[in-house]
Amino acid sequence: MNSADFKESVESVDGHCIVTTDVTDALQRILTDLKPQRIAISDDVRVRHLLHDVNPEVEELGVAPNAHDIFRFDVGITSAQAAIAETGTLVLDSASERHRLVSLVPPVHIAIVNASTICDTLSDALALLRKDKEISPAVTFITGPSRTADIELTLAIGVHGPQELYVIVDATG
Amino acid sequence: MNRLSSETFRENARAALADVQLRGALKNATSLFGERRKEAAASLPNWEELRTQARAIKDEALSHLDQYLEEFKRNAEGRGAVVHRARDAAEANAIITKLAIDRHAKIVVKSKSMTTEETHLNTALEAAGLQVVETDLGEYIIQLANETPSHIIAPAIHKTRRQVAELFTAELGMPPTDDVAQLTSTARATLRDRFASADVGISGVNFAVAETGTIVIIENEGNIRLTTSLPRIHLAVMGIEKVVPRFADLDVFLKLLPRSGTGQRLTTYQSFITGTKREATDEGPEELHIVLLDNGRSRMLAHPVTRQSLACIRCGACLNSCPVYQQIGGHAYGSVYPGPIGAVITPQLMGIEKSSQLPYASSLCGACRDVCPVKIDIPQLLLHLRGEIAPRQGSVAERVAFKIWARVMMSPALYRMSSVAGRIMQRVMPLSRAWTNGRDLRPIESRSFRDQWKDE
Repeated sequence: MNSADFKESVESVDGHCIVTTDVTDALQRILTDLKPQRIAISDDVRVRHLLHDVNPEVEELGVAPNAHDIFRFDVGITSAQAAIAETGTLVLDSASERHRLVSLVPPVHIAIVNASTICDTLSDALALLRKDKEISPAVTFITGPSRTADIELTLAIGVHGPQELYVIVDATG
Repeated sequence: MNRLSSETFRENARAALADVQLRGALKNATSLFGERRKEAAASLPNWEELRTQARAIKDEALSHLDQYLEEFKRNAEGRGAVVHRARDAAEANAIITKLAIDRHAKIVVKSKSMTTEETHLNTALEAAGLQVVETDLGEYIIQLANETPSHIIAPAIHKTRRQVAELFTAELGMPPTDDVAQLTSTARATLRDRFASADVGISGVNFAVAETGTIVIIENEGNIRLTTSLPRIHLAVMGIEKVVPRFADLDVFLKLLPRSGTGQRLTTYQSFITGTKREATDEGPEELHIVLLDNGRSRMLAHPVTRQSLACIRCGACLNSCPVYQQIGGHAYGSVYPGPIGAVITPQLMGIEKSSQLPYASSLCGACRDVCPVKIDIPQLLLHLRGEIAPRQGSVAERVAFKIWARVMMSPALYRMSSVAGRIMQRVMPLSRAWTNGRDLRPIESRSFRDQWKDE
């Protein structure tokens, strides 16, 4: 139920969303489509394993590249710690994973999120962040690809952040 | 450079009214923002309740502001941030400039911050030899054009795509184009270089949570995330009124602010930043400095009537709804904060002598009050400010005229005579020229209501 609502919300803000039981296959398809030369991934164990399984043909695969190196990558792949169904939002928590730059600088961001971590509402997600722990140094909410309407209020996608956002929802997770 | 002054508001407004291109752009922008806000508000069943809650939270924060600021400082510093307090613009600029110079910074990237517009931070940093780059697309455009923002959330709405294209061709050597996507990608490419080489990132703050020491910054473009993630040092500048007591309070404001501003359910990004990174190998800046700016806010806080102006969350909805702003845009106000809320805040921040025309830049129609997500009674505040200005400015003739009017209104006989006199005078004298220049005056009925009533 949540996954379907979440997917609809992500799509309403120009993101792509796939709900699947086979994440490896979904990622494989996206990467076959995009044919990136350089892929940056976060240091999340699951993302590493996924990339190992998919084993794309690339010039470079960087794990959580630093602020200097990150600029040369075409695609960034991370997981997300939670999500919000009503808004189509990903919740990235810096305490769990190094994904601050990988999710931001490359022109394409692919995020993997477990269906069980999708909350219904913004209120639920905020409550979750406060629950029995202190707040991490950087929590980021991401709703769709980067956008602006600063010139004549004409929508342009991908101004500073990613131009494309893919979310893979693991229906089994 | 077009830096207009609040002191010449009437002339500024007249010039703006004659600018056909500007008025077209304003009409598009304000009506589109207005419609989107309306739809977004209607999509929440409890909109009115949220407004009431938001105002209650702000009132609570403002009535114990000293305590909440202390709590915020303690918690932010407990997590590795350094919190500075600045009495005025000069002090804030001095703190920030010194921080940058001491760290041998050369390039500063900035994300949009009305507070740093208020302190004219860029001028101070440039005077100290630093290169300052605005990274919000709208701010970048007006920085290249050497102009000031004309709207709180859409700084460059007064410019057409053609003007932006000409600017980019002249300043960045871009081949001429009218394509907004291409203009945007040119800005992206140019600014990426700056992000990669910047030593310091300066941002504003939307909300500061006392309970956790967290600052929250919201945006659509991603430049705030870049500004606060890439450089070694992050400096955040906020007015002292941005503090909210609890983390849970964000729920209400994150629902109200984007819907009121752009009509979005949520903006693309929300960054919740709590102190500095834990391990040296973690991502993010090494240092976080938060500058709390007073600059006249304590004075506003002390006043029981004007205190509510500090509840403003800078969404810009009152600008879009205002029949005056819709016609003249932001520059005519000659102040950093334009529109209805600007007409309220500016005289309080800058002194009433320098902006005494602004509280009159309103028909008191109340549209601003109706859309305000924190229920600020802007017309009441404008009236209050007019009340402060009038005794200093009223002419002798005006005072005499009102004395006579009061006498007439208190006597039924004099009132009857005056209505007869009024009908005659209207025919023979070109009264109220300023009013009738643009429209016809309706003739007064030949028989007054009182006469007709007697006949019935």
